[in-house]
Amino acid sequence: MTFQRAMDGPWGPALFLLLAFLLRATVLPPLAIDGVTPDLVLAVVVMAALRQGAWRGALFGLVGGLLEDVATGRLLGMHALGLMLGGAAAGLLRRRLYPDPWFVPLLGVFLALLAQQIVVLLTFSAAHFAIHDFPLLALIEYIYTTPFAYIIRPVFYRPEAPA
Amino acid sequence: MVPRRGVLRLYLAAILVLALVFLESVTVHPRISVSRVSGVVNSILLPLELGTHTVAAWTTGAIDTVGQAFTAERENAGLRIQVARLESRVAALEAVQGQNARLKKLLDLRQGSLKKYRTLAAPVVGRSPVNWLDQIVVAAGSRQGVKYGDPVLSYGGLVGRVIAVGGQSATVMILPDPESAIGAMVARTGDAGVLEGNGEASTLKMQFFAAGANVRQGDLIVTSGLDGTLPPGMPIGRVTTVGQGDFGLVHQADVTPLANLDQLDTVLVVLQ
Repeated sequence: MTFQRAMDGPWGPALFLLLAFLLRATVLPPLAIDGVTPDLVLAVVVMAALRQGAWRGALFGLVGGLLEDVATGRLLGMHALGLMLGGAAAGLLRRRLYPDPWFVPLLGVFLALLAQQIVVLLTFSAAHFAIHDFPLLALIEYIYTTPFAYIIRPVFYRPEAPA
Repeated sequence: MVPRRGVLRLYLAAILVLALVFLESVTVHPRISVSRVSGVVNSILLPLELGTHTVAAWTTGAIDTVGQAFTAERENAGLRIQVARLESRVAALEAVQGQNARLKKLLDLRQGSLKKYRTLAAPVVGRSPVNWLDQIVVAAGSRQGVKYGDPVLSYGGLVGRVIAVGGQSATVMILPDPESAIGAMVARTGDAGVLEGNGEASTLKMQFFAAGANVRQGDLIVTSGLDGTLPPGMPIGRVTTVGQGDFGLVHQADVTPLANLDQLDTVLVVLQ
């Protein structure tokens, strides 16, 4: 199986999701700005969604988010829901914006983070949890995650038209 | 009439969204049943996390050394490589020295205020894989006697409490987590309240039960034991600002944790 075929199927991106999750839990914490680390899992979900479309994007988001939820052990479904919606939103972009202008990952990460942060905000307000400076932290997360989407872009990039 | 595939997918997505919202609502607070699942998953991930941790540390050292070697000029390349190697060794020694100092402080804590408790030193091998929940993963679990709810300290003071236990690992919710609420009191006066996290590692919010609490800047905050989960008297932090409420009465204060929550490499689990 070639690398390109693997990246068109579920297992290639799934492997990258696991790697992103591990890196985020072990390597990235010392690089945190105000406690915020780049959301590598979201970057992988966005890039996989841009390659494989909205439905697969939603599926990768669901899997990546569930992995985060189960590892954290509470609020099961919060990240799964947020990333599933985010993956779907990012996946819709490629069909609309083909042939893949440079700003697509920028927009994809923005939409996916927006979806995820809306879910987090709604959940936290329902559970009466307070987060100090949520908009600032959300902005840091966006600025910090976007470069990673561009770094992994060559791995996920497929030049031909979406099916 | 059979619905089209796209419509079926939409139904499926809607059911999935509802199921996830339901799951969220029933797991909003840490539960032992969920904690067990999470503990098992973290135990499976533990070797991978340890491996990634080790490879990352090794790679960083190697990149530093190679980076320094490449910038060396051709004529004294050998000498510079040697210097680079020595520098990386010095850096490694400094890191070990720093770690030694931190471990010594932990030992002092263990032999001092925690003498009456059974404690276990555990290395931190992972942090929360998400940004909005503050927790760490430590390489000690039920096989070492760690239980759900055990307090966790670092040199300085309280770090948090165990919320999920696996065989060889445990997840600890640390103080800044938005869900963290610790029964605490002012050590000097005994005025009690709840210390809450709000996502900020440097400042925690203390809400006092009674308006007009006798508290001032610099006061030591310790666990009150009133929440029934943590033993009383464990140091948490110091008051940095005191909030005035109606009629000038004190009802809340900002507290800076004594433990450096951004730099946790080894912690002490108090086995209850």
